[in-house]
Amino acid sequence: MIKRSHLLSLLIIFAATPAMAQTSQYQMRGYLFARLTSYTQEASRNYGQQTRGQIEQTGQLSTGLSALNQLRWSSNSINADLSRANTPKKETFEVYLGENFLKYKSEHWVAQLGYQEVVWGEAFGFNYADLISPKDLRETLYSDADIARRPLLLANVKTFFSLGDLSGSLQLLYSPEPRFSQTLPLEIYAEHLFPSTTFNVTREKTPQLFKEQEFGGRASLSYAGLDFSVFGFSYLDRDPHYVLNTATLSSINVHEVHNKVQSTGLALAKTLGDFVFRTDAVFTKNKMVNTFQNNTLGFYSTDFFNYVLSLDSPTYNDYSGVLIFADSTMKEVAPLSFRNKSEKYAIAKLTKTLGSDKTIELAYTHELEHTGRSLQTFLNWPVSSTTDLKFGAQLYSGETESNLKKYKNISSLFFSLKNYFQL
Amino acid sequence: MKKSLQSLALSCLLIFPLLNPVVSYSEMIPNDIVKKADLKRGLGNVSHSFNVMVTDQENKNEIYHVYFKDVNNTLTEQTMPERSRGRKLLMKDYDIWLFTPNIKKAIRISLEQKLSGQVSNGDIARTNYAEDYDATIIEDKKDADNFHLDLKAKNKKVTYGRIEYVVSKKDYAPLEATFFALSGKPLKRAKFSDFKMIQGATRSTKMVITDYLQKDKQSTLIFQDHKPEKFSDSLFNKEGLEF
Repeated sequence: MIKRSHLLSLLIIFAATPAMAQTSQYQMRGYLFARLTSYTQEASRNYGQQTRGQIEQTGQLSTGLSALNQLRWSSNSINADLSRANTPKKETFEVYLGENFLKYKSEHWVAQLGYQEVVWGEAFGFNYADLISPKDLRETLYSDADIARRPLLLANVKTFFSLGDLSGSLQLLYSPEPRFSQTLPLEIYAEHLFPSTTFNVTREKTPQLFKEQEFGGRASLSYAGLDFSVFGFSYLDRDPHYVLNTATLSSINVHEVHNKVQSTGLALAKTLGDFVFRTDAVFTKNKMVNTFQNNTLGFYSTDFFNYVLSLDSPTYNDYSGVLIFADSTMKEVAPLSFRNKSEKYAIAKLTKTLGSDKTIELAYTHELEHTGRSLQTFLNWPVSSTTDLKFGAQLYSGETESNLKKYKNISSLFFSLKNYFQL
Repeated sequence: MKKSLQSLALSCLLIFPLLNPVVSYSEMIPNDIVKKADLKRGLGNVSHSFNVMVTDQENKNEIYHVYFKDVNNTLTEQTMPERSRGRKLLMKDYDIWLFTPNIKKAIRISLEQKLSGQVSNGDIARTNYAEDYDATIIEDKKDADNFHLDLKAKNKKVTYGRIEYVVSKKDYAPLEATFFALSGKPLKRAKFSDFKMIQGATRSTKMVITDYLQKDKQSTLIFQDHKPEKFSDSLFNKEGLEF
């Protein structure tokens, strides 16, 4: 039996095919990606691999009306790479539909219906305002946010206006089918509370169409060197909390629950001479956090306030830099919680252009509450108009309580290859 | 009778300028020279579109399609290479935003940030020097055939602090420009060439930009396919770039 949401995807795929689209306005393109990693710490094995691909077709159906659909696949071992050394390494393979939507664009408004990725916020490094699309959180440690993002079924309407030098927009979103993020292994967060214990996690399934509903909006203005937006979204938490099923001395069986939360926030970007200042601030109400009080796995509700500040420098002698400060704080914290009350990070990133789009990047992240450190460097080398090479290294270390220390096992050297094609 | 009056009027119109004394170059307003030279590098402040091909010293090509509504509203969309297809650069007054399909949001950047090789965002998106710089004529006794102009930035928001600009006295064709940072440091040098008849006037279609210190670092810009076109305001709205 085909689900109603799948029918929508099939309709969009059909609509974007060359037969339906005007031939001159049809495009098919994609990429193939492969990455090899050699771990320098105590991972379950000393290598990791990842391959990804995407095929995308776009078609202009009539004036203003177009369709896009994407098919993606990935094969990787990264889920197990983060686990403890005694956890068997598991390879995974996924094929899934990426963005699939119909778009109607007129002079003053645009509407998109279907599976799509929506990004809010102005800042980088910590995308607290990027709260609409679920993510594969395993990917965030290896790739840019766009690779980690997953599409969500949305009705997305945006209207634009201009009044002299002032311009802006109003966007409304509605989703009848919430989706959840793919999380990191639970041991990462709970190992210090449950050493030598294996967690078996039952994921919460995507709710049936129209059983749960999400909605929100964003208003934005741009004027005289300033971009400003306010937004709000009521949704099922993309991150789960865990509820105990059964437990033995060596293993704990839990299932995921995603409760309803509301986020409100603002984002701002301002040009300061040749520099650009950015900030996102998000307040989230009623988020659940797990704890291990009284020798049992429990959870409690609290509010979160997250913000990020950043300053981009201009290019001086082929060098450019970014400074970022991020803070995520819970209003209340119970003893033996799965996370700290406050998590603060400072990031310094330096990029040097080596010519012909070749760049070398160096980024240092410092975790402040419990000292943690991360150093990442890579050489991005576009060897031809369709192929990119990347060589790099990442190192995580710190105090036992720090978050960055939890990723110690993926400290590694890596090499990746990405090939773009158009059919 | 009516016809002979028309002929007389036409003859007067043609002959009268020849009787007038020629305006000496020293009396010309430098900003007018820059305005005339600007018209030799594009269609001026009229709504139009064109393509730019950028080739670097390693012969790598990039192609951009530019939507030029007026001097303060420009949208540049990259169409080649495949990895950069769909990258957009919007410029409104001195504000500039970059949209890339993977980031999926328009981000504010500065004019000075490099677009590609030796090419800054402003080299493609904001090319009317008369709008952004105040010009003065510099005496150059060795080169009597050309104007040597010193262009100083009207404000700190523009791409360069100063430009030394060489314009032909014969036809106001731009020949060469040396660009300086706000700090006064020389950045790069550009040469304009390949003048062709476009939309009823002779205009430069080639700009070669060379790094001031590292002469082997070079980008060549070829401007082509200029055509007058009307655009709606929403095309130049930052919030519309993702669509």
